[in-house]
Amino acid sequence: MNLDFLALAQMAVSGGLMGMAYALVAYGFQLTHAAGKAVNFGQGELVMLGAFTGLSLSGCGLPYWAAVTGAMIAGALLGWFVERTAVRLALQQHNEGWVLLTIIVGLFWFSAAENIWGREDKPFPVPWPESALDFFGISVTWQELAVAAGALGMMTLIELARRYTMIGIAVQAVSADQDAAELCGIRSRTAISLSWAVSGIAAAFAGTIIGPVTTVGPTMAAALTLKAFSVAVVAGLGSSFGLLLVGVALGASENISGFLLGSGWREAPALILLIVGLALRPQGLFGKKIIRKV
Amino acid sequence: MLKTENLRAGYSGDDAVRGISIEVAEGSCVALVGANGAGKSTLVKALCGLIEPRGGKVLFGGKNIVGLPASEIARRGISLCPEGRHLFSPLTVEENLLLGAYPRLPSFGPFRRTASGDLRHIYEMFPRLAERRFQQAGSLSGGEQQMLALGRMLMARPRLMILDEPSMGLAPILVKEIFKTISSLRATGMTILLSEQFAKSALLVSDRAYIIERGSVVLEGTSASLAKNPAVMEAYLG
Amino acid sequence: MFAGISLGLRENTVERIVRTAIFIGLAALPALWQGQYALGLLTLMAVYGVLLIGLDTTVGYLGQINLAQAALFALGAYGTALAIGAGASLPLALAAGIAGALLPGAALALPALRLEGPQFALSTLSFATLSIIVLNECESVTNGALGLSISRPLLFSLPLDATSFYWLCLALLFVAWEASKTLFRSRFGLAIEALRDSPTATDALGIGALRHKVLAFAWGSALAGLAGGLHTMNFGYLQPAAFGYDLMVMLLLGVVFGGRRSQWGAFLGAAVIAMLPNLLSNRTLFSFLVSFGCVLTVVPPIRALLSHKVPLFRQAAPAIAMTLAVTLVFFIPNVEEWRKGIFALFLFAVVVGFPNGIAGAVTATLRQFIHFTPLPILPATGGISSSKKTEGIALRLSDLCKSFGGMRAVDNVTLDIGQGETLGLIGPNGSGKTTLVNLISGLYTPDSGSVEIAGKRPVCGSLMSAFSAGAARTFQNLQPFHGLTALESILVCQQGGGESEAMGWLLAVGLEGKARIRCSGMSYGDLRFLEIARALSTRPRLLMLDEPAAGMSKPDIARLIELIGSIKRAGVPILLIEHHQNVVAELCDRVAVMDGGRLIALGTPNQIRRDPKVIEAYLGADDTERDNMEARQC
Repeated sequence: MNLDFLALAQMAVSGGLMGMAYALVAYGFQLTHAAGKAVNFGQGELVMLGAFTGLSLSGCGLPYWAAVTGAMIAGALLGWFVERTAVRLALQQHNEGWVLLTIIVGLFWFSAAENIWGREDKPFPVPWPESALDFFGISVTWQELAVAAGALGMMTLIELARRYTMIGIAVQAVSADQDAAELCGIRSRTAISLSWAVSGIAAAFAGTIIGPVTTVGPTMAAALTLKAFSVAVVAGLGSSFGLLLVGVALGASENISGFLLGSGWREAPALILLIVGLALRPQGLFGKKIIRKV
Repeated sequence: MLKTENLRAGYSGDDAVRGISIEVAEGSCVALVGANGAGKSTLVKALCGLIEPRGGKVLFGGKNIVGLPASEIARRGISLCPEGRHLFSPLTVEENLLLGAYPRLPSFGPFRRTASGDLRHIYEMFPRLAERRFQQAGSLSGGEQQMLALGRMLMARPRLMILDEPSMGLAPILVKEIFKTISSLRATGMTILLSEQFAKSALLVSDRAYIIERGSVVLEGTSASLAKNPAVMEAYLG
Repeated sequence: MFAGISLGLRENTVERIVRTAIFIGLAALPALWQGQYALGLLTLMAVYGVLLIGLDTTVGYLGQINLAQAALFALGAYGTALAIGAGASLPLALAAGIAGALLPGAALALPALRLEGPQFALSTLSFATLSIIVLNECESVTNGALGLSISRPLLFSLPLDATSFYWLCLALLFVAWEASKTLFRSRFGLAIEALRDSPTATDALGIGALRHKVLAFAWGSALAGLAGGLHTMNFGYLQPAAFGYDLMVMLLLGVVFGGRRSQWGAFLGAAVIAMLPNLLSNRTLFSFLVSFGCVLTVVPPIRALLSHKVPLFRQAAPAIAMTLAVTLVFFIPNVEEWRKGIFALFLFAVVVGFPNGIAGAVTATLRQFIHFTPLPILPATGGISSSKKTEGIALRLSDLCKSFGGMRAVDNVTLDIGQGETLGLIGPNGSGKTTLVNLISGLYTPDSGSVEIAGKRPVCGSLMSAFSAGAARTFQNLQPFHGLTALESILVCQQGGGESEAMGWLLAVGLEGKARIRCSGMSYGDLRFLEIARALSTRPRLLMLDEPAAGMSKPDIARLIELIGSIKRAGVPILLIEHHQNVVAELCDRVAVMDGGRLIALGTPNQIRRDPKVIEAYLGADDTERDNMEARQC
């Protein structure tokens, strides 16, 4: 009994720490959704490309930190590129085509990654030790700590920039009311592009911290997109604190259901939660209800 | 200072503004008067670049500004207080005001310090806003929201202020207050273009006025002469 | 520009002839193009055709991104496989496949279709992933990742060889095509079209959004199940992994590529996905196709350059994508490996350059060159007739309140409208008039207070419930059904009654000459009249007109006054929001005045005109001015 409880707690803790990375990817959705009411259905591919870029850079002999920075720069460019090529075009035509276009661009990234880096999963070397720390019988690896700290740090950093720099406030203004922001002299297109670039940075960074845990391969994209979507949708696109909470809960539930029902079922509870959550509360647990205007 | 030549604009379908030519001289207050749906708001939006005009010219300081994005027009000194206020409701009162001065403020630096002089000025003018500076703009009452919208516009230090229906949705007593503010702004020498459904009040505060009906100017002249014109009143009370 | 050819036939007839010819050609193809492999491809194309026609119901007609079709296809396939395993005959096995997809599909549709846009896409994506997990993990039933092998059952005790099975698939494709087409041409289809343009208006007019969406999704799921069943019998081997994310993306993109909202588009898309792996292996053919596509996409930017304009990014983007594709095809040795990438570039070019897909682009071109005979217009019957006046009140509002943030938009409004009465509601901009109508019609939920329509109390905040109580409305900001013609807009709203009756309503508002014109091409004033006709055709017990004269020309306003007058004489109670004083004065029995969310005056038009409070609210005159005003009024 006692042992079982401990095992479950162990599962929950390591899953929860990993869940913070899902929250970080979901945070990328929140950024772009706030700015331009669109999200990238190929966000997982950006995570994957970020991880591959980091991997290649550290393969070139660069230290880990430099490789991560390089990946983030690549992420910014890729995020900006998706907005410029896919999203803005579709929104100009006033339809939901952006969903398709982001999927299509993601498909292209996938194919490119397959051909450039190959289909096999590759390990991502990291500078910290493989050993684990022990907290009251629950072991936490340095790797898991790094994921949690990285995700938390990145989200805090972006959130601080959003709230306490003029440009961050301007981006928030664009999400609140694009026309009014333009009237204040804020270039809303630039603000939206910036949001996508930052979202790309978050995704690429997430790739470099998830990569060491899951190994890096083209197929890591699809599963991650879905998990991050689940987090974003269940939490509602509007509360970063909600994202963290739901992310941790999802990570923990994944591990526990994998442990109790078998590894094939890992993702099932999260998906059921997503469908039920959407049906009961479309605006998300922490979201605000939207008023229809006529 | 501002001049439009045969401006046409509209949303889908017919033109809502059908060839309007108006002029606003430096330091004057000009009113656009007309019923709901006459095309005032469309005209004002076309001036500010929120919708692209379908024809005609808008000259500001002698330069054609048609086709520029709204943010660029705002940076050149035209500031619009839009119909329905359009505040950034999730942001605080102070953040709303700071955003008014956005082009002048440093993107990453100590923006509050740069803007402190202007902020103090606005808070002196609207003490209610100072009391509520850290509240969300959406939680303000209607009158306070209108003051905030005016304050946000003044933060831009505009060369031309355009007020679109500043009285909309306000109780009569607040409407009077808003008009008092407009009068005092006018006294400081500000150039103002005022679009208003309340004919009487608009004619009282302005120097010149254009009466707009179904997208065209039907009457124009000094406000004093229009106020005496029975045709104007007829348009309002039938 | 072009004189065009006149065929003397209706477009529908021509389409049917061409389609039948193509099907006959396809059926004869195995005789010319022999070989097991070719037959397999043709069968696959027919199966995908059924599947994509199903997918098009959501992606095209509902306008929602559906990522569950591959999973529904899988569920149908497993349903059939299990039924065959239990010894079912071919028709029964197909029925099992249909049920296998239809039931979970309907279960998904009910919650998911309350959502829109990305949220809907996500819930279907989760459903898809969940389905594959279940198929993988329930090993005792599905044999898990190892897969199921089955053999084709007998059709009425006759064994089917590959060619006859292909014919069966082709026949079923034809049936699915015809059924889908008929379905989306019916009133049901019109309703689907309408709710894509304005779900608010369809709810307010009692068409009902959710019910139609769920049925359409169920139809799509049933076709997925049928396709799944055929797929099982075609391949004889099933594995969950084959129905994953890749297939889903291919299907979605196939529909978009072929052209949304068109069975032809689905068919073309199916042909492309079925043949794609082969196209890629035949390098010469593929290079030719890609180059041809590239040439097509280069046309718009070159045309822009020729007229001395810098081409927009939107015009140039497809050409850039296709040039990249050409580069890949000609310079990369392992084209097969880049299959998805090249396909992605292709699709990008199509989605941006031809938003209506290949079928849409071809149809538009054909319509330029060929004149089809238009549909006939039936004579009008019906129109505005006297309704039986019932006793009591048409509308009763008690202490209605609604706030938005710190704004009290509607503040303690109490108001009655009697049977047959026309009540004018006036007030300055932003005084809460439209919010009041939104509360009555159920678009908003009141914070407190109650609404009673014709003696019934609708559920607060439900448009449908307010409609069943008898309320119908028009919208200040027009909510036209852009994709429908004027006649179709009425057909979809009226409760029973045919085209003649719909023509009657158009005649009543003076639009009988524009019956076959699409709303997207109608003028503002006409759309306002059409909205009134739409509301009238539901035979309301309370008609709410929200600023019907806004933006109308003088002669139109005169027509409008006449129209509202005749509605009034027919005994329909009307709540009329209006700014034009002459409209109100001429039509209304009583006038209510709102200001700052409150009701500040109520009386006959004459009383209201003299009420100093009203004059102040309207003209904003200060106290000294008011005396002058009143002097002038008298």
